[in-house]
Amino acid sequence: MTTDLQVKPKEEVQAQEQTRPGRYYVPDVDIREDQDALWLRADMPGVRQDGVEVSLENDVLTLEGAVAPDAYEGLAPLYTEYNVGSYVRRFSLARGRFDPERVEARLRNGVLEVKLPKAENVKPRRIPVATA
Amino acid sequence: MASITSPWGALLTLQDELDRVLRSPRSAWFTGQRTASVYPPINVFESKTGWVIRAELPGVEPDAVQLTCEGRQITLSGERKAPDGANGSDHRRERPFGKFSRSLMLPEDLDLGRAEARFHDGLLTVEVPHRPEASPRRIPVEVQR
Repeated sequence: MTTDLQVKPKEEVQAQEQTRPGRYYVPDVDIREDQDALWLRADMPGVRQDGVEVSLENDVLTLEGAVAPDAYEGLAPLYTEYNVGSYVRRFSLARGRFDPERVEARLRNGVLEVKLPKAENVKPRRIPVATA
Repeated sequence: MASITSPWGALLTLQDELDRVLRSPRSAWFTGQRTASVYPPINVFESKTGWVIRAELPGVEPDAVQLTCEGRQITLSGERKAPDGANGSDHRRERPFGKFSRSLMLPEDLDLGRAEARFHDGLLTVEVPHRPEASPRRIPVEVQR
């Protein structure tokens, strides 16, 4: 069963603490957790591999994507329904739950996927029950 | 501060222009009704050679997008499929999934027969050139004596 897609207007980032000029929008994000890791998927259409930045510092995960301005060279807007800009979103993570050295990120079809492997000590584990 | 000659300066100019067009009452002329709530949102630009239609379709597989033309109408349709996730639990679900279909009526002077489309980084770009006869031409004036 599939539903029809609804339009969600882009939300502009209010705080001005970005590294690049121009507008920043809040990307839609899905977060999923499985046994081994936390998975984040952020919609960043128009962002190329070299425009994406993922960092985990002081337990804050930052996802940033810059649109490539050259994709709009020589174009004059006639009719518009959305604005273009970069994307940024930050998440505070529980201290020590994830291993910053093993964070993986990839960009595919305008979606940034980040895998945060859980630190070994927080992974669920089975405790064997000894029988007498 | 970005100067006007830097690529970022160009982006700032574009963002302001997009805003200006977004707010203009002309936004409704295009299809005669407010269609801004139809997925996917589109931007239409004019280039030197014709029109460029752009839609943001992140997470859509390139082969899941269909473009069809009939007369002056172009229809983009497809499906944004949710990734398989049998294991685990969701903490946050903001990204929409489902089917979409959207049609646009283009002006007479555009040649849909020569339209080209590409899909990169979740961005669909359709370029529709002007018909050759739409480019300016000189009309010879016969002088009668």
